Amino acid sequence: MSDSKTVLIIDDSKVSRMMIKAIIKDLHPQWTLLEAGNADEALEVNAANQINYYSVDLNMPGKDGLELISLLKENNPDATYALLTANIQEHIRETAGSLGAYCINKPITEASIGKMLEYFNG
Amino acid sequence: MDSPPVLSELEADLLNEIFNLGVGNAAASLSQMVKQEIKLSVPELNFFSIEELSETLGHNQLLSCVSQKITGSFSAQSMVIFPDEDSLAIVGKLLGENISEESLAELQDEAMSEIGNIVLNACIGSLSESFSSAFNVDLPEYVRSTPTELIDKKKLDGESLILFIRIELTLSESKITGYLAFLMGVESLSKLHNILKETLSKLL
Amino acid sequence: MSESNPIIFQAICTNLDTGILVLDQQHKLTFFNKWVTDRLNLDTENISHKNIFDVFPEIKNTRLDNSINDAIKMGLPAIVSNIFNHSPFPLFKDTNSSEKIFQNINIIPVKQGTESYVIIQINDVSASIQREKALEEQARKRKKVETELRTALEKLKEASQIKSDFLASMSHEIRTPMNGIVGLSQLLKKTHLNSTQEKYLDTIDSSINLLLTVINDILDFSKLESGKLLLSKTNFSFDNSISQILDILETEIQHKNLKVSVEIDDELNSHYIGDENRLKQVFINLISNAIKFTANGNIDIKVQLINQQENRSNIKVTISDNGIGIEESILQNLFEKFTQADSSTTRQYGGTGLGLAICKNLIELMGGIIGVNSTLGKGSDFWFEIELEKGTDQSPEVTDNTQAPKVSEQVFSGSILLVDDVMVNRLVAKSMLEELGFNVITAENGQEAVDLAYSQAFKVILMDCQMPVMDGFDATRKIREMEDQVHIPIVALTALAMNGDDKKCFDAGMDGYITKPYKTEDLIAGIQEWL
Repeated sequence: MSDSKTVLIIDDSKVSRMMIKAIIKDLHPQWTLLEAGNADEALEVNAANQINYYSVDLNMPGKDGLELISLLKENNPDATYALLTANIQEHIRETAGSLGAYCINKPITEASIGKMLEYFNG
Repeated sequence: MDSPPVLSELEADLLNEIFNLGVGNAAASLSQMVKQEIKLSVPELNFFSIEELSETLGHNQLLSCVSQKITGSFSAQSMVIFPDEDSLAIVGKLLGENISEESLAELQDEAMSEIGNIVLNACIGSLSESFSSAFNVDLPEYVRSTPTELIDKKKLDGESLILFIRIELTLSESKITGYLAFLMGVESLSKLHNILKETLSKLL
Repeated sequence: MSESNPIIFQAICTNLDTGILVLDQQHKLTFFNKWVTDRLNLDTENISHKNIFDVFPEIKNTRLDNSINDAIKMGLPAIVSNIFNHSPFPLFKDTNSSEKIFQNINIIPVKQGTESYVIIQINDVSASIQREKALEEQARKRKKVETELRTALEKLKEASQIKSDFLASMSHEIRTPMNGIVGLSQLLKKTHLNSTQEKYLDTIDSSINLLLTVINDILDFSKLESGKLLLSKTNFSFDNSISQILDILETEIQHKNLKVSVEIDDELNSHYIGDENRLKQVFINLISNAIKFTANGNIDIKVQLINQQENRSNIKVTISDNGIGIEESILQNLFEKFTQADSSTTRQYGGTGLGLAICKNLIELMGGIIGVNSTLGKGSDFWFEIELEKGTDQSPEVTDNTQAPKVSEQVFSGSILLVDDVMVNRLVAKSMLEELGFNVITAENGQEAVDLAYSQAFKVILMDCQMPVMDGFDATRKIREMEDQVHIPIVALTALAMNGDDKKCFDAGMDGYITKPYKTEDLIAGIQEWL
């Protein structure tokens, strides 16, 4: 996995963002990791950069993760999207699926982020 | 009067995230149990003294409370609190439309006990996992009373500081506000603070 | 205690009225008590130390499953109540029953050294479930009754509405032919008759009057019941009204040799404002009852002032007789509809039984109260109290009909246009008017009326309301449109006698109205103004 990819990590918890970054950096030191704390910031960063992979937290104040993904997709339909949440209910899984996003179960651990990276890489 | 601790931005963030996870899990369990869409979120987290708590809740507001005592790396009386009439509404919605008002009143206490148990277990579990420490947890107790009565009892046990978390339950178009409260003594609270610091340093 | 006294421990477990299962951290069944085995339908010999999920596969992926895992992994206790989790374990009333018991389950984690165990406590809550089901059933029944009552109430309201509508249309259907009968019998009276014919005609006449009373009673009562009766305001005097009524009842009074006295309080105003006609209706009812039920003796009519303020007086009217009186038990329901003092009187005196009920409704509509005191054999006092606004004193009116020129003595002239689609009605009215000296031109519908309206100088147009081709209202409107300088008075001849009908006439441009059935006097009174 030597390609340099750009990942946008979106989560309202700073600690979570730091944890995700740390785990990804460990496995893919060349990747560019960008972050945003809410939907508005995410859209700004997205407009200014070319993103390959998105890690999107579901529960955020304001627009939630699913709403954000559909907005991001307008701009960047071919990228890969992962939705992180502790609350995976059937209807969430279905909505995510229809958006082409993959659900990852929180808590944030090496295992769960590892799963997300597997999904990103194909 | 004991004063609440001051958490750093990251410490507060971590605590918030722990409860987010807990409450998210609880929503998933509840949802699976009653086969309905349920959302639970944590908009706010605070530290209060007992007197401030009573004011926030409304001195004479009738509350539905489920509590479980936990002991371990720190001790606390963990509680889920809903205004009584809201709890009746929640149980009604979860049980469906075919229940009469009389039956609902009979079932309210038991149903709330189980719902409270699910939420508290999920939060305690989340704390447990994040801090990598186990707790000893008691079976839930249910009580219906006003904040004044509730707090009078607790003061005697030396628990005067409260980690107070506002939660929002969304169930079939209605949003209901409830609370999580962890009643602790000064010592426990500082233990909690220390564990947070330790956990952060391990993660980052 | 269990270490030192296994026998006691065993006894406790055997006799416990609750189920106990103990699992180790591999989820294997290490203990279960008699309560459980008594209620399982499977072979309990071989389940010891088997994985609970193998023994009870139905509990996989349920809350029970998750709770057991949480208890073992994190020491979390749980309540798994019957409310949200229906009978998770396959436990029955007894080993041969197929009736599952309802379960409340407590999950209690226990640590022994480094080993984790979980105690599963099972309580049978079937009894309270039965109770709840019974309560539910009661509530459901109650709701059903409530719904049925509500439906019944709505149906009643509907029926009442249908009745009112029916009566409104019947009112028209009844009044139109009555007009023919009343009018023609009047005309017949004026022709040359022999004594037998006169006797027969008199009988027809009194039958007609009785019938008219009955019809009016029924229609009045129906209006009162549906709240559709409106009171009017006229300036009247008790003195005049009572005299007029005694005139009408003169024959009966003389026939029975009764003495009638009238006492009106000096302190009362000479005139008051109220619905004179309706008050007269009450008077006639009460006084004619008194006459009916008094074989011979006295009838005393008293009008007293009870108290007064600025411009209102509280007045009590009492009509006392020393007739046969009324039994105590009947007194209570006297003012209810269809009650009569004695069913024999129905046969003797006829009547609808509505008279007193109508009086009660009318007096109450005026804001007053009505009542009766009576002693069997001694007599009765019928009374009512109302509050009236003081009226204006007027110069003495003509109080008795004998002083006014008799209708048949008046002579008129001029032309009248008579519009009615019913031949009998035209016949009756034309004869009445020609008797009086008028020249009468007739029309059969509104269109003809419009064509003829300005063909000559008519003193007044008498216009029926319900006609084919063009009705009275449209015809009136058209005639008013065509009006240049001459305003021809148009008076409605109408069988419609429900509230709001008069407004309809005035709105169309009519100047007055006469209700059918009418007598010659009514006709004159109706057009008097424009002659």
